[in-house]
Amino acid sequence: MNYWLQRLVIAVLLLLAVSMVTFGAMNVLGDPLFNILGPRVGDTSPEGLELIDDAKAEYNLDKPLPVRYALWAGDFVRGDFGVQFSNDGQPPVSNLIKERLPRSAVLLVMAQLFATAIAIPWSLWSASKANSGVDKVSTFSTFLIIALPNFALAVVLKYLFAIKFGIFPLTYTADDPALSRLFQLVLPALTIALPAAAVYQRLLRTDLITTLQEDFILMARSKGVSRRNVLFKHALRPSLFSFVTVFGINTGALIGGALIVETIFRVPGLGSTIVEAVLREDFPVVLAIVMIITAAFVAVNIVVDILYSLIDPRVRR
Amino acid sequence: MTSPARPTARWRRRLAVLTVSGLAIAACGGGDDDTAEPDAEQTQSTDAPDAPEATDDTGDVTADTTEASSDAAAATSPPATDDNSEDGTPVVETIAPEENSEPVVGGTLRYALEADVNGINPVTSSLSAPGLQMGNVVFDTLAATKKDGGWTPYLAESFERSDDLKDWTMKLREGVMFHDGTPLNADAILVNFETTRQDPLVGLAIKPFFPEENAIEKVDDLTVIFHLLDAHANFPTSLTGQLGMVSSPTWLEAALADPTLNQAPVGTGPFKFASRSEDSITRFERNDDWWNGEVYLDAIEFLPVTDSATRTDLLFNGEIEGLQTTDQASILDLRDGDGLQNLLNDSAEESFAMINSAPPPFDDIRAREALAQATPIGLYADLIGLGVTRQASQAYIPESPYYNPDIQPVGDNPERAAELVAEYCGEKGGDQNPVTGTPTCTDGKINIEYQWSGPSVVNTRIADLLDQAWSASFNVTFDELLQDEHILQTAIGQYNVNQWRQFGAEDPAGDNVWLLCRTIGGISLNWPRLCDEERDALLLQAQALETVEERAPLYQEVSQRIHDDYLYIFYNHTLWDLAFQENVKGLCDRTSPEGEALTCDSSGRTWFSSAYIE
Repeated sequence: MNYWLQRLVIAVLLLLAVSMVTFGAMNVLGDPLFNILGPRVGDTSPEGLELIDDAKAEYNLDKPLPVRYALWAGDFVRGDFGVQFSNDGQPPVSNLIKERLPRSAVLLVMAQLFATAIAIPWSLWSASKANSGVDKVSTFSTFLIIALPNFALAVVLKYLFAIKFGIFPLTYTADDPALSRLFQLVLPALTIALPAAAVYQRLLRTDLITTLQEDFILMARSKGVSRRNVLFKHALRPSLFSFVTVFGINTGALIGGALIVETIFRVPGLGSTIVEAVLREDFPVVLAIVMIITAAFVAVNIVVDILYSLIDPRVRR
Repeated sequence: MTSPARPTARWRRRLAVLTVSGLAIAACGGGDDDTAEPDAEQTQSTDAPDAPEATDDTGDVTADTTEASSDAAAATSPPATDDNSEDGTPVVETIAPEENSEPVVGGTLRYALEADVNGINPVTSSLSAPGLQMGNVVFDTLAATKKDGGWTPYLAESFERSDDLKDWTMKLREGVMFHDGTPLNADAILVNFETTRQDPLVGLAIKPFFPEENAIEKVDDLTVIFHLLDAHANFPTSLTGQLGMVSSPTWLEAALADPTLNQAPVGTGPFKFASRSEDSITRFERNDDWWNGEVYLDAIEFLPVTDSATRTDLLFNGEIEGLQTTDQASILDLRDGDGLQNLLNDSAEESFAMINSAPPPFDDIRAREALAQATPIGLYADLIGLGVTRQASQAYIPESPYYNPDIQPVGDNPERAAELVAEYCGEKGGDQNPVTGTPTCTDGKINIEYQWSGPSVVNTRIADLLDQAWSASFNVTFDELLQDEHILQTAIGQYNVNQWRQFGAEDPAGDNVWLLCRTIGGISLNWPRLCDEERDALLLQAQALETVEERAPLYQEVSQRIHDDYLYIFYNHTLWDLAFQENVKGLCDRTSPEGEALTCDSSGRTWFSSAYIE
């Protein structure tokens, strides 16, 4: 089977599996009627029972689970995410997604950019001084950052850059101008980016050290190519393979980290929204966000596959 | 603006702990104060003040509230709690009225709330303290609380009562308009009243006190008569909070058809709704045509910040001008911080564990008493109260004329608890607990579920503390719910014991809704679901009396009966701190149209109609 067609089929199967598991889990865990009707769900009068029956019919809750899944999936692929299960009105889930997705997307893109921007020069510098004292300090630093949980790092960064030096604001405000909001996202993005950068640095440094021992590097050196050019032009590209692989896989971990970071920095994005929706048993919101995250994860990994083929054309064969 | 000086010890402690041990608890990131508890006032204004004469006997509290904040600060030394007594100093601090300062027009005041709300509709939304705070800027109430206690007409021009105290005639002020141009008139009051009454939860605060038919009667375009079921000497006190907020009938009808409009309230208040981004910011802008005078601030922005430490940091960093909190650690910092003003008050609301007496095991008083006796009230005062809050034994602070000095806190007696549990399990261990779905006893211990609202670090800490003590005689399962679901579960009786905050109305009649037999039902505001007809008789008798001297012994007897029923395990009098930057002025300069000074803080909320930024 064609490589890309195979990738596409796997992606669709993955989305189906995730949606089935999430849909099943959410329907087993709670009673959405409680959220739709509020205290009226406890009303056992004839009018109350009629209201409950009407709500069940309106939201397909009176149908078997497979039928409900099929109905939901059919709507979902047509772009209809359903309505929020809230007792203060049932606005469309798409409204919530439109409002919150851009914030999370910007946060994650910033985080990955920061992580990459930090990891590449850091690895080049460390690899060029492999096994020296500074390299050992650098290695220790990466372990420290990786070991530090997101929430602890968030507190440290908040204290240093918002409280102590007052460089960044403590909180995010959705109504502020776009540039202010970008500025407000720097600390949350750094919180997500630093551990990712440390992981990337560990991998890239190791690959760079291996590459720097290759014959073609020795050849370049012997021809008098400068140390800087050897690192940037000859060693970096062939060393990127592991880095790109982890970059894709790590996207999932970063989304997980964003759940906590968004809450700590008060960024009303998809992370904080899904946490609340799970607690509230707001099934349509949970399903929509899980599917968006899964689709994003799949998409990033397809992009990574494309990058593989650019870095090493042998992959396409 | 200059940022106020921050006490640094807390940050150092936090950093040290985090970097060394990586406190997992912080990962929750949610509200870490006890404010995530449901505020029972969401369904009824229970903060109504007492009649004017009531404050004559509350000398210390009333007098202290007029002191300059620097003087009052000296009077807020931590109370002695180790002996489980209630001998603490009244925790009251206020902001002196501005006498020599010219109000400045302009500026935006940013204020951090302890949480966001689902909607800001006083007739359909369960408004907790943050919701009521936002409601205060966009809505006006029919009556208001005077600074020295008692009520005064506000949006209403006058109230007249019948001889039997059951019919109250209210005349509205002429010419008042809602923000959408709808006039305030008798029809608007009728729409508000009936819409509230139809709401399944908020309506419960009205239904038990009015007849099914002819509850409210229109006399003319500006006059209505409220027909009450029971005599009430101070009925307007119940119109000083959520039930007294008047919404545009045009907006109310639209919001009924499209509940998303509950996010965009329309009232007559000093500020108009401008925009709202849920969980981030809600903005109100000055109402230039406000009926009660000039409004100085251009706008107010409310930021829900569930983590109390972050809320405090925002204030110290100068990113906001004010905040509300009940978190004891934050209050310690805020009181010590230079360049801040604090409105401190512990006279409203109590924190307690509340017991559902309807289903087994707590339908048996022995099980209820066992839980109370097993509760570590001393440790609670030390570890949760941090010496900031005063221990409570009943719904009144010691300075209240309604305080019953004979009632002592119950707890710290595991031996007595064990005896009672052994007795109960021996007799009724095979009964079924419908909440846990288990027998009432397993291995000689009573099976119960403890419910609280979260995410909240402090509430979780409280649960851990209680479990350590209770586990000797109880098998406790935990259920942490979002606040609105916690309230709903409680309203329909799906709980054994939960963490709650309630009571403390200066006019105790405001608390009747939580206690009367008639508020028990499928959906109940008498949350513990215990009917005591003798208690009812006392409550209704007291409600009809004019003077504190007449009422006090009746309410003291009510407190004794509540105590003897073991329905509430009181922890402490909730201490609210509304903290502001030094340049926020005029908060306590609010007056009625007749020039009477009005209260500037009540159960965690304030008013901004007279505030300005210097």
